[in-house]
Amino acid sequence: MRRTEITPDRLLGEVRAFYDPTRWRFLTVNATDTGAELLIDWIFVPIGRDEEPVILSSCVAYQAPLPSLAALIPASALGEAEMCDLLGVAFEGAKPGLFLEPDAPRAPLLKTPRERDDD
Amino acid sequence: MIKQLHIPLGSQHAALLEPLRLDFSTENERIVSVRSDMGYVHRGVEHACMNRFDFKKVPFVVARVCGLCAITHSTAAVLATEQIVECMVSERAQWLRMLALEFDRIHSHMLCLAHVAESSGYEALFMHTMMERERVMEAQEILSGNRVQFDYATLGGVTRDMDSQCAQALLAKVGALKSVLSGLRDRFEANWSTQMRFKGVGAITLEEAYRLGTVGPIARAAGVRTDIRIESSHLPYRALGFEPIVALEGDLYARNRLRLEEIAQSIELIERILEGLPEGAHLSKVRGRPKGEAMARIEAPRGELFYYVRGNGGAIFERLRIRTPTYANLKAFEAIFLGQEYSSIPAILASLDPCMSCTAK
Repeated sequence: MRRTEITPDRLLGEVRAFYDPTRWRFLTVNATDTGAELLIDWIFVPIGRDEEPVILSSCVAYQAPLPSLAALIPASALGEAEMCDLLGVAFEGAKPGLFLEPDAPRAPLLKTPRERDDD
Repeated sequence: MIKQLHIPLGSQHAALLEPLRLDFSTENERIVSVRSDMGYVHRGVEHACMNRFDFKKVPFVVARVCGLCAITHSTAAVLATEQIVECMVSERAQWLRMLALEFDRIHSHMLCLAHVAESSGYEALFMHTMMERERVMEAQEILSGNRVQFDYATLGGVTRDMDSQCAQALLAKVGALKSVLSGLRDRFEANWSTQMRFKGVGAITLEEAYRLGTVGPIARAAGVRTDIRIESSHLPYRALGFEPIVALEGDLYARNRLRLEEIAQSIELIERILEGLPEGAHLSKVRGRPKGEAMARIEAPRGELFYYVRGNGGAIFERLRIRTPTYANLKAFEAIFLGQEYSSIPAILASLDPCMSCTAK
């Protein structure tokens, strides 16, 4: 997997520079807890061609605010909400609750799941 | 005078096959806004695979994400994992995996078509389609030993080999299905009342399909030439001369027609696989533990299914991520409903073939 590392503040500019929805499909945004920080991948795949995907990556601190792609790519909102729910990623405008009930463990896919505020 | 109504549908409703909540606002009978909510059947499958199960068991665990497309989940999981362990999968095993995937596509498409017929009030066509679908379920049992949860794809290959007797039985099953397919197509495509019910209903334009990132039959029925069978080389579909089928209209009628054509195409692919099945072992040894990261995409019956795995040399994955086709299509669902008559919702929804069990995982 070949990644292009970016800083979160460059995300929207980088995406605008290459993203043509008739040539690229936004596959998903993924987050991985590396143990020290979160690895965020925004994955784009070519439509109708067997070519390498474009993966924009950023390593960020837990709970660091991240921009949303939803205004540019409506389908990204769901992935951002899922990462907010399961890993506590602070995407702009995303709220927990897509999959988890209010009384469920918070950010359960983190290596050290967060304490609930009301615990 | 315009009468405005707010109509919630789901999460449990007789017209819904799976738990999904749709909040419609209508002006008279026409839908002017819609909001969807899902996640009612979240079972923490990713969490279980990252905390409890050895990587060799993961393909069997993820097969439980969904009963209908179990084989697509386990195949995507093994295709991703095999990239980060020591493993040489034979060509025969890859062809057998394609065989199982094509059978899965046929029965899934037939189930969708049956539900569209039922939701449109054509119960005879529903029963007829389900009856013919039984041939595929029986074929899956011949191939794998089970009709639904067959745990066929595994790390290193497939769990069962196939002899010539089995191949002949499968050819007979698809041959029988082929002979009745034109009758089914006639009822879905040429019947006057189904044309009235389906043509121009629940359409999505090509531009919207691109903008909303749709996948699978919904995208192809709107003219997007996308199919992971040509976009990824994890499985050797090129050796079968596969080319995606595309329609233009983007409506319910086009989605039905596309699925019927894809069933015929899958039958042809199955025949080519059975005729040209390479020799070799059906299962190879897997050595080592997953180290590194990999992703795999396959064309599930509903569209692109994505798996990402990451291992650190331990027996349990550090990360496993699943992105299902319905998940990718949810935004398009909302766009498709806008402007439609409320009475068309059950048929439109059935034609979108949502799988919430996969999506909420």
